[in-house]
Amino acid sequence: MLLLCLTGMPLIFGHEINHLLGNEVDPPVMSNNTPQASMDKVLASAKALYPSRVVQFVFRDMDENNSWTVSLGKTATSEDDTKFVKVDSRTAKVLQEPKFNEGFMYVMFKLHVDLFAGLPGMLFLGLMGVLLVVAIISGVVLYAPFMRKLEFGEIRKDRAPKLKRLDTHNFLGVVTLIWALVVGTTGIINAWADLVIKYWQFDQMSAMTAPYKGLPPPTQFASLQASVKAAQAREPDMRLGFIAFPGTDFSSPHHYGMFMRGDSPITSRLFKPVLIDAQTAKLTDSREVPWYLATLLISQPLHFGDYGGMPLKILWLVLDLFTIAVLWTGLVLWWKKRQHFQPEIQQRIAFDEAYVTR
Amino acid sequence: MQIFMWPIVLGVLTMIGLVMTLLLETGWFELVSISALALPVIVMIYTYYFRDVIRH
Repeated sequence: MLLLCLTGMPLIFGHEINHLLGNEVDPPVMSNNTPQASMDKVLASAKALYPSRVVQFVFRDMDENNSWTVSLGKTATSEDDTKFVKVDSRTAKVLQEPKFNEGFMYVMFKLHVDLFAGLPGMLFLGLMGVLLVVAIISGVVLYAPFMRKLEFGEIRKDRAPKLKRLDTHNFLGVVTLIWALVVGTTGIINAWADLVIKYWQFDQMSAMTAPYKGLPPPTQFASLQASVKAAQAREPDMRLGFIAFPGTDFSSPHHYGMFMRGDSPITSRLFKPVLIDAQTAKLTDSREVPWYLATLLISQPLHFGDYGGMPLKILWLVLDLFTIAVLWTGLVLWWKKRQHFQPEIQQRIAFDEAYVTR
Repeated sequence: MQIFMWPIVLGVLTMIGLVMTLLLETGWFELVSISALALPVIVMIYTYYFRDVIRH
């Protein structure tokens, strides 16, 4: 848990740290009414750098309106050695090649999400989350007997260090209780992300692409800009979040998967898939996000605290620090108590041995 | 019940802060929700560092 709290801290400020480290470059400032370039041009600029690669996704941050990042892999589904190219969406000029799969933030992210162990690592951390929730609930049960003779927030600073530590643990624990429960529970939900997405692909995506089953993959592709227009016409009140290219896990060999999002903090998380025929640029299907995927998507901001701007990020950091203090004081209390009982145990063992030898 | 009164109040405020920020867009509501979430932190800092000093 301590590792999760420590690695979670830089992730709260991931965007800012990436800027400081030079891993993210902002597009140049231009007039607000500068028109957007064609998506075909944006794609061509990225592909020109890696002509032998296959485009997997085109995406942007939710607060970014002037750039697209294109990911290019060895195949449509390969995950190793993926190249990323950030392109200005107004001029279609390449801005940079961000390194999302190396460096400090990547290490922090992997330690926080799966301990570099893939799905087993994610599920293991999910189990740790369950234990955290159990620890919090047991802490609430133990809170009452410890606080019977104390007023709320009383810390016996002038008494033994053990009592001060115990009071600090109880006080910080009970005040951060709901926040820690929410972050812990949403962390458990996030640990199931890969499996939930796999189920969504099996449940929804396979049904959406069923009419194309068994057909040979297209040899010629329609204009990406025309495909984006078709998706935008289907969802005029939403904006494009990311595009999954044909053959990736979020589309089919025959489709562009256009994932549309709303503008509010909550609807911007709920990606709505719009499938566009990759050969004709015509709309094929579009469905609402099912409840299990919506639960996963809504749990993410509640876990990462990235939905209320800088004030919320700072609060998340402070509450994270308090949680570290709760964990640390709890650990020290447990260790000291163990040390306290150890001589007695040693004595009992010695007594038993002496008794047996007689 | 007395023991849990303040923890419940702060818990409810935390919940309001977390949910309101997610559901409502910018403006006064955002300020209210951030304040609700910040209150437990302020109470914590006040109680831990300043309450005894003020009482004495």
